[in-house]
Parts: sequence; structure tokens; C-alpha cells
Amino acid sequence: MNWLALTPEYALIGGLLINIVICAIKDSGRLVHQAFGLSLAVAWLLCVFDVQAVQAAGLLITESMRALQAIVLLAAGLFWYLSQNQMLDHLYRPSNILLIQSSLIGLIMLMIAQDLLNIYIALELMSLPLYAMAAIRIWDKASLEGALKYFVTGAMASALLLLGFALLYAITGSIDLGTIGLALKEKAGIKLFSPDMWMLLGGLSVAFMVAGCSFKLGLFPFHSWMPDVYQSARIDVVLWVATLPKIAIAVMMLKLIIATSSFIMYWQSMLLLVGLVSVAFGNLMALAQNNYRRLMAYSSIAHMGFFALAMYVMSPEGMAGGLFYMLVYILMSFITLGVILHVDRSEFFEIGQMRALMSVPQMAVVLMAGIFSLAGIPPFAGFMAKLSIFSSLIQVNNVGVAIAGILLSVIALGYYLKMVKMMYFKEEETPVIAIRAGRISMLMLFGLTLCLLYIGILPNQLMVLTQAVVSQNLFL
Amino acid sequence: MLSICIWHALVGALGLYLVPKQNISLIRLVAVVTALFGLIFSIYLYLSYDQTINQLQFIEKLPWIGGINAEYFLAVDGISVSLILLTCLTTLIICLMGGSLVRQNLRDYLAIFLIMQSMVIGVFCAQDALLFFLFWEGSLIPMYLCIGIWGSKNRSFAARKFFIYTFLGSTLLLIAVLFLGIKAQSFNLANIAGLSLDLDTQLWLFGAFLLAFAIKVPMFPVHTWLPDAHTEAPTGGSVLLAALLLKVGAYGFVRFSLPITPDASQYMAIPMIVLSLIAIVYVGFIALAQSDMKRLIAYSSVAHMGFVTLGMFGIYLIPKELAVMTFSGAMIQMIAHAFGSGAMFLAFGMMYERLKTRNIDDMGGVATIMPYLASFFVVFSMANIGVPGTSGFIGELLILVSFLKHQPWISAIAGLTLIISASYTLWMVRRVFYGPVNPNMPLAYDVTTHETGVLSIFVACIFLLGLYPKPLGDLLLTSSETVIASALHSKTGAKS
Repeated sequence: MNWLALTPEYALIGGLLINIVICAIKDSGRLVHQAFGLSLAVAWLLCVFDVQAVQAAGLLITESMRALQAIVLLAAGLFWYLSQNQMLDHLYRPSNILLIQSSLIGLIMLMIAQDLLNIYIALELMSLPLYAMAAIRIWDKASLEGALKYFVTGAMASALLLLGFALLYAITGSIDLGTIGLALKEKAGIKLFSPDMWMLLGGLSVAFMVAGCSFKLGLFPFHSWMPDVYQSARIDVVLWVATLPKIAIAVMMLKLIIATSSFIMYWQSMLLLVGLVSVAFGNLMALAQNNYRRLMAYSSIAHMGFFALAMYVMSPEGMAGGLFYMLVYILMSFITLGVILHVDRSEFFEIGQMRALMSVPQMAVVLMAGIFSLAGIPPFAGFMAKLSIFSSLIQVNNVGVAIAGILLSVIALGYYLKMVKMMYFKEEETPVIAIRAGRISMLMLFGLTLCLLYIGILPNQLMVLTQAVVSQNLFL
Repeated sequence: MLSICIWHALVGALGLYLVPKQNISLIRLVAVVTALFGLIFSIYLYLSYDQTINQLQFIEKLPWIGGINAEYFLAVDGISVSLILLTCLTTLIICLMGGSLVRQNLRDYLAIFLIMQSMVIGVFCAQDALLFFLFWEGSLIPMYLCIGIWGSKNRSFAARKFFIYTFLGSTLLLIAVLFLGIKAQSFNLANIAGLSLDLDTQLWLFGAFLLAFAIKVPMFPVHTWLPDAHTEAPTGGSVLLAALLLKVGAYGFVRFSLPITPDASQYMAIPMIVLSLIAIVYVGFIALAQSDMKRLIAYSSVAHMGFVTLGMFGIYLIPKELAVMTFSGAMIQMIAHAFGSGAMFLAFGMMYERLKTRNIDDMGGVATIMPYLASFFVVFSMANIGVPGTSGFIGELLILVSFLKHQPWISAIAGLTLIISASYTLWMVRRVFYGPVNPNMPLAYDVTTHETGVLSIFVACIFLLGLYPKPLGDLLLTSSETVIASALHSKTGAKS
């Protein structure tokens, strides 16, 4: 094992350790924040320029995964800048930044973890700080309620996932994903159990894994934490929860699916159900919402439903399409939630007050682009994301699911158009809501919008990257 | 070359944002210069288009999305060229008028129309199904914003109805396009048309296309968004909607339904013709009952577009020689409709600016106050009715005559339109322009020189097309023959 291949991770961990020391000596939020930023920058540079492919000790580092991680780190840098007001708010101890840092380390590790143990540890390292972050506004009862829901359901999801892993270990005798894949192909463990029992255990294992992943992504029957957390947690925590961990979970799902591809029918039947119901449920519930952040939570459920549908296809194209969808969705979330980051007391921000955004017209334009992209209207990236999913569905001759998905997505127009209408078509007095937008954060949001257009018109590069991630993980 | 034709307007729209918001005259100048450039360029395109060669011209091909083999593939035939000319002319007229009809956010208003010009020309040039879809949907957001921001009182409802109708229609189009593209391993329209498909698949695809294009045209049962959108849209929006966006739907039939699903089109020809006839007759009667002037023009639009679909699907019921005639009739009717309805919407926009009412009962004797505007409007009405010598006459005549021998019942029913459209148009003209002056009307001035100039462009086009349609006919002829040949070529025979 070449331990030098892990330099980006070392940079992030080093940053965390330094910050712990800083926190112990001097309670300076700004210093901690800067150290975080520095470690991010170093890690990003190492990710881009010091790529060494490694496959050992439960890790799999490939060039494409490093490229994906570089994107994630770039997004984390964006987050670092955009949310500095919240992170440096004097109401909070500077140590709240440490939580985000450790979550980021878990996230980066999860993307390269290649055995069940590493996956689980990285996943928990990623999630546990978030439970604490969700509860950081301890004076707000709603926030605590959301955090508690998040914690209880999240812990249950982890337990289910672990149970799924345990069953997988039971029937294959290995925790390494590659070995598991081979063992399942050759039905190696089948002599220990009767064939029926073997299938049953495998099916149960897949079911637990689907449930665990659904919790983490916020898919339909396991979504209950999402609206509360989205509405009442601190806004930068919402931005974090809504975006980056989802990429890591998508990558994890990809790896689990590839490893257990012998049980493809279990994955498919469950993902189809969960996916379609999530799209329908998320869109219908979002129609009834007035609170902006709550609405975004339900819209997120619908979008994760589309991701599940992409995973349901199970072809390499489908999985690459799913990853592409996830990346684009995260880009869109950065815009729709990044705008709200600049709105005062955004937990009470209602759809009906969106006219207030017109006081900063550039902000309204950016948000409109984000909303149309979420709705999947060309020329924005959201359309290409949907396109990649539908084309992979049709490639495996599943036109029916594609039609169902696209018709369900029409429901979403109801609330997306309402938001645009509230911003642009009203003539009433602008409600007074303070919007603080710095020049640089405005530029960043604008840049994101340009990315949205760029991917929407020329999606090739990102598609090639996601295909590479999938194909380099096809280790079987 | 076609890329310049498509993207110059977008560049112009971006250029508008370099101009400070307050400098209105410069904003107008930039928009008009962009549109003028487009018109000159499209005329140049028309002149260098070789009408003797029966194939796609000015081909541009670049790889676009690698994974699914979609290409950035542009090319035009005669039908596209005529529609591109129409697009550039209409945008120029809207940009010329823009300044005087819209007071607020002029820069955004003009930018939206330039973007729409880009998208519409893109639709007419795209030979790749996915690219076509992208341009097709590209005009959705600008039009939505145009109705929603600058529209009249009930605009947000109309904008939403327009958006949801169109989007719903295009969802299945997308699935059908993806299905075909993946089956053909390429989104090139020629390759897709070369696929052999059995009748069931074709019917299924035809249904998906029909939903998208019928909503856009609009055909009879799904036309209800149009009167709302037209009524609430600002004048420029109405003109563009009538003159261009409806054509995009009809163009879709020409590029998708007929060549890709010929057998299904044949199978469905009678129902389509019946729907067209319903549009012509029934919607004509609805127009008769309107008291809102803009709504009346909108319904007359639906009725006239009925002729276009009638001509397109009529080719299956009559011999091939006559089919070319009815098909070119439909194409000419498409162009002529832009000059009839579009011009009426523009003239009405000017009236509305002065009188602030759409209700016919609130008007009367307008000709006494504004004699010049009234005469312009009467000319446009004549074009709308299809009086010989005006543009509306040629297309309807070609279609009616070609059915006369073999399917007289179609001619008989469609011929009713001559009575119906004359009734509602002339009745409206009488109530609005003639008779005693309605005392409730505000005092208003007649058309300015600037407006006279703009309206004269329309008048010139109407008479040019009405008296000397040969250039347009020649332009359309070979392309029409190609479309008809592929539309009549059965694909089920060579089952693979």
C-alpha cells in the first residue's frame, strides 16, 4: 500500500487537527475558518495534481474518482465562502466549523472506501457531525425537533445498513467489495446455506441496504426528517446536508450495487417502487407548501426519486446518468439554497414573499435559472440530467417507466412556476426583507448559473467523467 | 452560415445588457440593428439557396453529446428558408414597434424577443431531433416571461396555462425522440426517418408527436390555451405567437409526423382532417360569439391554422399530383396566416394603446377618429378573410381546389370558412370602426409616421404574396415534393 496516495485526505485531517489545537488555545472563529479554507485548498490541489491510482487495504483510488473529489472539494470551497457569515456568527462557538470539517473528511473517505467496514466508518464520520450541526440552534424548539428526527432516523438507517452489511458478510465471508462480488457470482457461500436461504439472506441484505440508502438520501418512506431539518436547521447546515453528502452516498450506492449485482432483481424492484413513489409524493407535497425551505425539502425528495429511477436501470449508462443527475442536482441546490443564504431569518421565508428578492435583481435572475433548471426545462442543466435518465431507461426498453417519470415531473411545474410568478409577475409592494449579498458571493452564484447553462448545452465533459467513474468501478 | 443566422440574435440580446438601462434610444437601436442584420442575412440565405437542387443545404455538423450520438446538425430546405425569412421579418417588426408599445423594462422585453428569434430559427434549422427539441423548448421560458411580465390583467393565469400545456405536450415528444434516437443509434432526422417501424409503434409515436404539435398549432380540442395567451400577452408577444410559434407546431408535423410515421399518418388522416374541419367551422362560430376583440382574432387564428393541418393530412386522400398542390397550399397558408393574424394583432395593439379597451362594445366609429389606422386594419381583415389579391387567398384556394375533384365533401365543409370568417371579421370591423362614434371612447390620435411605416411592411407583404406568390411557391415546391414522397412511402413493408 502506497500511503502517499492519500495526500488529499491527509491535508483535510491535518486541517482538522490544527483546528482542534487552535480551538483549545485561542477561541478565534476567523482563524479556525481560515485554517479550514487553507486545508481545503491544499487538498484540492493535491486531488488535482497528485493523483496516484491505488487499490489496496479496502480503498480504491482512481483518476476519475479523484476528479469527482476535486469537484466536491471545489463545491466545499464554495460552501466555505458562501456560509462564512453563518459559521462565524458570534452566537456559535468556533468549534462548529470542526463539525463540518470532520463531515467533509468522512465524505471524501466514503468516496474511496472499498470495503464494508471502511464504508460504514466513513459514512458515520460523515453523518454524525451533521446530527449535531442540525441541533446547533439549541434555543429553537423546531430546530431541536428536526435534529432529533434526523438523529433517530439516521441512526436507524445506519443500523439497517450495518445489518445489511452483516448479512452480506454472512453469505460471502468477506468485507471487500470485489471479493463479495466474485463470491456472489460463484455462489460461494451457497454450501453453508440452502439455496433458498441464501437467496433470502441476500434479498434481506439488499432490502436493508436500500432502506439505509433511502434514509440518507431522503427517499419516500424514510423522508420524514427532511422537511423539518430543511426548515429549521441553520441555513448553511441545510445547504451542506442538501448537497455534498448526497454525492458520497450516490457513489456508495453505486459501489454496493455493482458488488451485489447478482441480486439485481431485488435492487430493481425496490428502487422502482421507492423512486416512483418519491417522485409522486415529493411533487404532490411540495405543491401544498408555503415555506420556501420546506418546499425545497419536498422537491428534493422528488429529485432523489429520479436518482433512484436512474439507479433502477442498473446499466452502466443508467448509473452514470444517476451520478450525473446527482451532480447537476447539487449544482442546482447550491443555487436555490445559496440564494436563501443571503436572506434574513430565512426559516420564515415564504413563497409569497419571494417578490422581495427583486430588490436584488441579479439574485432573482439566478434563482429563476435555478428553478427552471430544477423543473427540467432546457437550456439548463436540469434538462440534460433528466434526459440522461430517460435515455438510459429507454435504452433498456423501459419506456413505461420513462413516461411515468416524465408525466409525474409535470406536477412539479405547479410549484416551480408559482415561485417564478411570485418573483416576477406580481406588482404589489415589495415586502421588506433584508437581503445581504456581497459582491463576491453574488459573482459565485452567477458563476454557478453559467455552469448550469454550460452543462445544459454542452454536457459532454461531465457525462464522460461520470461514465469514467462508473466504468473504473466496474471491478468485476 | 446557419449558425450565424441562429445565434446573431442571441448575441444581440446579450449586447443589449451592455447598454445602460436608461439609454432607451440606444437599446432600441441595438435591437433594431440586430433584427435588421438578421433579415438581411436571411435574404442573403434565400438568394444563395439553390432551388434546383432537391436536398438539404448549408449543412453544418459537429459532434454534440457523445454518449447518445446527438449532433449539432443544421441544414435547411425550402420550407425552412421561407419560415426563417418570416421569423426575421416578424422580429424586426416587433423590435421596431417595441419601444412605443412597452414602457417598462424595455431592455428585457427586446432581449426576450431576440432570444425567441434565435430559438425559432434554431427549430427551423435543426436536423437533429434532440437539437430540435432543445430549440423547441427554448422558446418556452421567454414566452412565459413575456406573457407573465408584460401581459395584461389576467396574465399570470394565461402564462401558466401556456407553459403547462406546452410542456405537457413536449414531454411525450421527448420520450418519442429518445426512443427513436436510441433505436436508430443517431438523432439525425434522416436516419430516424429511415427506420422501419411497424404500425403499432408508429401509431404510438404519432400520438406522442400529435400531442406536442397539436397543442402548439393548436388543433381543435387542445386549443384553449391560445385565446388566453393571446389575450393576455403584450402586443409583441401576440404577434410573435401568431406569426411564429404556431408555425413551429405545424413545422413539427412536416418534419416529424409525416416522414417518420407515414403509415400512422395515413391511418389517422381522416380523424385529423375531421379535427381540422371542426377547427375551421366550429371555432369559426366561436369567434363569431366573442366580444373581446383580441380573443376574436385568436379564435380566427385557430380556424385558419385548421387549414394548414387540413392541407397537410389531405395529401393522403387525393392523388399525388394534387397532393403537392394541397401541401404547398398548407405551407403558403402558414406564411399568409402570419401576415393576416400577426398584422391584425399589431394593429390592434396600437389601438389598445390609445383606447385601453379590448371590448368591442366599448368601441365604435373608430374610423372617424383614426381613419388611417382603420384603413390599415381593414386591409389586414381582408387578408384574414382571404379576399383575392391578398395573401390569405392563395393558400385557401389551393387547398380547396385540390380537394374539389376527389373529396368534394372536404371542400364543401372547408369552404364554409369563406362565409364564417367573412362574417366574424366584417361584423367586428363594422362594430368597431364604423357606425356612430362611441361617446365613452377617449380622445385619441391617429397612427404616427413611425407606426405607418411598420404597418406598411405588413401591407406590402400581404399584397406581394397575394398578387405574386410565385417566388414563394417555387421555393416551397421541391421541398414539398420531398416531404410528400417520404410521407407516402410506407415503412411497414420492409420489416426488420
